[in-house]
Amino acid sequence: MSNKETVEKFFASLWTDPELARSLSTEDVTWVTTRSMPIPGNENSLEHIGFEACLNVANSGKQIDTGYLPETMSHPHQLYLEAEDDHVVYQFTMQCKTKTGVDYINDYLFLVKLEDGKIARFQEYWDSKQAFDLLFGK
Amino acid sequence: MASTETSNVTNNEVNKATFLALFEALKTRDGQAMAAQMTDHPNWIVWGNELPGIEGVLNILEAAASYYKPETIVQQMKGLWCDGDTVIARLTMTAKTTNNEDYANEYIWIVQLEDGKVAEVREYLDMRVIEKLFGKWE
Repeated sequence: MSNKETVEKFFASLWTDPELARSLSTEDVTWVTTRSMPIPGNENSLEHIGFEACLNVANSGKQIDTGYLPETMSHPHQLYLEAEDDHVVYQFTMQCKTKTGVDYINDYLFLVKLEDGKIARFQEYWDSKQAFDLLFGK
Repeated sequence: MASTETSNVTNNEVNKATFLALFEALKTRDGQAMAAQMTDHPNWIVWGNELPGIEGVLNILEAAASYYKPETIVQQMKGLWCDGDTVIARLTMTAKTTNNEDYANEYIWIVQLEDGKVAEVREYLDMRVIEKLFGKWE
């Protein structure tokens, strides 16, 4: 499996088949989140180390009262770049309905580092202002 | 090494050198030197907000000068990779704002080159950090 295919499979399964996503990850897989949007349960760090911590980040958007309705999520745009030194860039647009009926749409980018064919570290970039405005109705 | 691989490596190094020249010019706020590394009609895009042309690049420099104390700006490159004519750069920046507050942010630039010149920069950063410090960002 190419690095790009591994990343594709990882993100396709993270929310729907976490055990498959776990099998594609290193033991100390690390999700690096954005500074302005702390993750409940690990508010003081940008780094979420280990698969359970990553799963906590993955589910954080669904758990808040104004969060996403998972069954409405779609990805109208997806782009992969397969870069040197086992890096993959995954850029996508996600749209869905929120629990408060808001049409949510936002752009995301993950910079993913693989080690021996497994997901080792991924840093998330998303339009945090757009997310805050739509999720919290600013 | 096969000749195609050699060619790819060479092309990657040339593209990185062009990017690094652009980045060094940005750090010294030298608009003319930045323009020299770019096509005649480049596009700088920050989360879907387009800043077209060399004028857009100069506007970025002007905006930065009004937001941050120039002598406090520290821009560091944390990683640089290529996928063909696309350069991927991971950057950080810290500074004191003109209101004397601390600024820290993480960036990814996805840089598209055409004929050896930078045609497009897509900049991804934590916009909530910007909004909190500077209010509505245009």
